[in-house]
Amino acid sequence: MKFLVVDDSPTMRRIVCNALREIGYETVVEAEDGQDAMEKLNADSFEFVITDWNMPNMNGLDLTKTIRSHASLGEMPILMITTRGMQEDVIAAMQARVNNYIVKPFTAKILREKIDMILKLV
Amino acid sequence: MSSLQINNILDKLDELRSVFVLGQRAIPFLEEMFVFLKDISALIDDINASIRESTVKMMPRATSRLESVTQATEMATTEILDLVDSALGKVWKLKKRLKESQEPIEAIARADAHMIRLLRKELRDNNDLLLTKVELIHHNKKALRRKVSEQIQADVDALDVINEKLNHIMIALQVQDITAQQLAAVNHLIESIRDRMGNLMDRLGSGIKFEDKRIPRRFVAFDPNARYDKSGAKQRAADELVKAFEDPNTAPKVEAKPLPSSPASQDDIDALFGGGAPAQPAEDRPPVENSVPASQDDIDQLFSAPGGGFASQDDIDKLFGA
Repeated sequence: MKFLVVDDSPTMRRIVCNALREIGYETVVEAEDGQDAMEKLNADSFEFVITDWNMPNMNGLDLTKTIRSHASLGEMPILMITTRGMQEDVIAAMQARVNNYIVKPFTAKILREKIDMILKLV
Repeated sequence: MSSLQINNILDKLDELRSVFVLGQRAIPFLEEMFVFLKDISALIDDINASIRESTVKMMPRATSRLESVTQATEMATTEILDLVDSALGKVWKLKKRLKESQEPIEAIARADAHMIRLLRKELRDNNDLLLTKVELIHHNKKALRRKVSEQIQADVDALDVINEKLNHIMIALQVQDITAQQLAAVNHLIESIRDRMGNLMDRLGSGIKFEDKRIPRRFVAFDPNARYDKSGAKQRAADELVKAFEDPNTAPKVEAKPLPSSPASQDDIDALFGGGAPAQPAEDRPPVENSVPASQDDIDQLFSAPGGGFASQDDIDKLFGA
């Protein structure tokens, strides 16, 4: 399974990628914001997107909306990992149709649980 | 010259006299006013210098220091991640090597079992004593192999624990991203305050064009409420909301707050400094009560105080509607 990890923090990208490898997902590509992610999604095929919310150029919420309105990427599984843990944030993300939501700091166990939940439903 | 004209001149002279009388009465007030303005002009100079110092030097220095802290922690985190990566790589190689070392032990066990079968067949009828000794050696070898295998498994388990601890370290480094967002939020507020103070300096005519002193602002996306909270309470609350969305009838409907990409609002700044009423630009302020222009009667009343003494500060305040 090929993952696209989108985060403007190089530290977070590395942490998420390592956590993915730790739980058995080896093929991971990184993008530094929503715009970069869209370029990569249009150029290559991915099966799962993990995105941060707060990013320059295009944030995670707009990236989710863009993917959902895209003709061929619309059904892409999207997991949001963010520091934003307010009720209205989670609701806004769910309204934008992310598949699940993780509040930082997260553990590899939570990451595995959420990915499994998403893959079971899609 | 008619008597009417003379009367007019006399009236004008009378008015002129009144003006002189008023002027004479106003002199003590004007002197007091002059002393007061002289006193506060030094204070205004101090405030102006202080605003200039804060706006042009101290605030950019604070912003730059906070950015340095973020960069330094990012560099340190990268170094730690490199070390953890390298340690994880070594642990993985060691685990692989240990697991591989089990294979020759199993091959030796198979060879030994084959050899003992052959020896039993050859020695069973003609050399019982030798067979007994060979069986004993075989038994001891089996015990040794088991011991080595157990030791290898114990080492693999220990490496699994180290692997898990290293992963915990890596996960804990999320604190860098969270503190970087907290610092970016503080920087954003400082820069917003600086902008406002700079505008104030421009209006006060400090002589320094604030626009020239503006530092280029790089856009950093951040969550002003970012917290390093390991309790899991936020995740549990998020999970409940995600679950509510499984059924469209129970899905909550709330508008998202806009992202803080615009300059900080006054509320943000007030919140940073512990609350307080929001300030308003001068033009938006409601008129001060009693600020209607003073009538001539008010002025006359002020200067006709019993004994013709100095006007009090209260009188002056009242006059100017303060």
